[in-house]
Amino acid sequence: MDVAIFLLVCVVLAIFVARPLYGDRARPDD
Amino acid sequence: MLGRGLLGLGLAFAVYAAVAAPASMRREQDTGEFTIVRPDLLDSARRAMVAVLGCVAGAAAVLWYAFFTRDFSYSYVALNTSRSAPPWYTFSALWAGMAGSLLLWCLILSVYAAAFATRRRLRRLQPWAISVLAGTQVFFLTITAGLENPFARLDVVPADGRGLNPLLHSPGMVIHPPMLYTGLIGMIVPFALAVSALVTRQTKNWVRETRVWILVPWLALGTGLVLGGAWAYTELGWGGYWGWDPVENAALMPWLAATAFLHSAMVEERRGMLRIWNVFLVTSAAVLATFGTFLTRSGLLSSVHTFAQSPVGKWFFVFLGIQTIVGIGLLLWRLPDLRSTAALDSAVSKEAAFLANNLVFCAGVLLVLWGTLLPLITQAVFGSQLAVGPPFFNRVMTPLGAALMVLASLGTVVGWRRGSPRRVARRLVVPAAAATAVAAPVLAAKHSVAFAGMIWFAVLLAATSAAEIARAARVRSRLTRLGTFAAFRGLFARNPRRYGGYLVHLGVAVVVIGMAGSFFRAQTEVDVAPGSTFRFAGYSFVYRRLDQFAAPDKDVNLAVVDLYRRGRRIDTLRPQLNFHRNWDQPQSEIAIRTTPVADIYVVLAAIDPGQAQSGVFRVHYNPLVLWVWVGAAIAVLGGLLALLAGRRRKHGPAPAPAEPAIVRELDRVRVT
Repeated sequence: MDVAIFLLVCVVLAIFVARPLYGDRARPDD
Repeated sequence: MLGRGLLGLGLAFAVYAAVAAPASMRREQDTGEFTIVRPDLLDSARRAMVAVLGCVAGAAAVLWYAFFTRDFSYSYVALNTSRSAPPWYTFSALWAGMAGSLLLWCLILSVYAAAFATRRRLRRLQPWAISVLAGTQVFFLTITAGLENPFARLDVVPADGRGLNPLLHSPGMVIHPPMLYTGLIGMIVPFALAVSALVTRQTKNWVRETRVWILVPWLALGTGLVLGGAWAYTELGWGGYWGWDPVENAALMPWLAATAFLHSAMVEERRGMLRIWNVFLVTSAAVLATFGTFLTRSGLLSSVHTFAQSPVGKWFFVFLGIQTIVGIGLLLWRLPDLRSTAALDSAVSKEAAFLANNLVFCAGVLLVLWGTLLPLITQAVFGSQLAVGPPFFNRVMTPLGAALMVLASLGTVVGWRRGSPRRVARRLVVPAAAATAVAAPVLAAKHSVAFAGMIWFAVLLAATSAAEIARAARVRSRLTRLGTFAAFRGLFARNPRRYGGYLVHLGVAVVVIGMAGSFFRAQTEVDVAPGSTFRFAGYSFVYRRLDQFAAPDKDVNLAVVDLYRRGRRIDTLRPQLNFHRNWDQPQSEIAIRTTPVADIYVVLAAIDPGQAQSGVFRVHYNPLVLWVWVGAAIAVLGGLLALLAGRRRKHGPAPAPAEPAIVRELDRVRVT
């Protein structure tokens, strides 16, 4: 159970952090 | 597994952010300016800071869940709580020991780091500041997950836990440590901003951005210090609230440095002066905050804060060294960028008063540092420890406090650049007269020049601050035709920093009045049987009886003492001496009768277990202590107003419709 939760958290956070690099365009420098 | 795994994951994100954030920035060859060339990388690093917060909050949630479900398979849970613990002490048990304290430390640091990283207006200062914050997270997460694992399991699971240390059974202990940590850890954000400003040569406006980031930890640290004092007063039983304990000193020093910065930052904002000094102060505040943690955690000096000692102390020392080298090294490297753009015009000016107050604050820091480190220095040099006690600190800090109160009064009434001595004198006449009117009878009655002097300085500052607030409210009321209360409220809404600051000064003055009461403290110790009467400080104490009963975790001995004044019973006090079975130690619960004039503070120090049931009572007469707490509350309110009222103004509603049509028209044209 612990391992499953941990892996899920890993995947969700990795996608969240990597999103600006792939696809989700960063806002221009202000 | 889950808790430690989350800490490891947070560590990975912190390492990524520490590298990715500065990699998003590049120095232009032609202009020498640093610009963000990879906004996507910076955004990813900013998100990584949020991810770190998620991981650390998750780990803390795992530990809290274990506490509330009484999962004694965790060694940390078994050591710090028991089945009979009430919910609030189960909650606060998280920071009752070393490993949990470090986890809380990581959590608060991550909250700061995520809050900083998600702000968009600091974008050009962000990359390097994020790197510093993430680097700090890497250090703390490594020692939390690697050295002091709060998730370690026991091979044999006990039926019940040991319970919380009885000394920590105090409402103050639920708030004091997180508040103090919020203060100490928060000093890292201004430091990160300073590092970023120096590396990327944005030294022009970093101070303006930094003020709010230092105001939060400054307020939290100040509140934490007061709560710690309240805890010492109500729990430790020695009758005082400040003992110049090494750990108290260690928390006081960064607070003094931050207070100095709050003043000197204004000089840089207004006049472009003290720029090197400000970087130095921010670095000092951060280094002193780490030093404070190092002292608490290393066990180098004996202190009442010995709840949590461990070998992580030496790693703090390494971190302290890195922080100092980075701060001072960068300062020296960018020295040419930090030259002042203006010079002092006159000795009668706000900037001169602020400069002087900074020197006094720094003298205070150095003296406290010297007094705190003396045992270590003498041990290293002479081979034996020589320590200084409260008399040393009181003797050196009292004149500095008096000087600060005079400077604060002067700084309130004098203008920027070139003040008029005559105008200053005119505005100080009434407060000085008020101070003399209060201090003269005090001197006549008490025959203590030191006590009357402290009262004089404190009333001068209180009257100057109150008069300044009242004067401004009156002027505003006249100009806006608002009622006095509405004008008063408007003052704080329009210039929260200034009037919040005056309120802090007023609170500090009231605290000093409370502290001055310690000149007339008295103490006695009596050994009496039930039914006996003893007299002390003009009061009669009648020891009625001793009630003895068993509570779930302790054996309670409760003495019932009636207090009489001029033959009339005015109160019944119930001091306790309890034996905590799990901890195998006695613990006094103090009975305090508080009035504006003085506290009567009764400790049941020992009891005769036999038939006689006689008790040893230590009784303190502590004048004016109430005013320490009242003054502190006023100061905290002032700090909160400076912080929150400013925020509201910044994010407040759009300009009122009463604004001239031409301004609205100009805005429209500018937009199109």
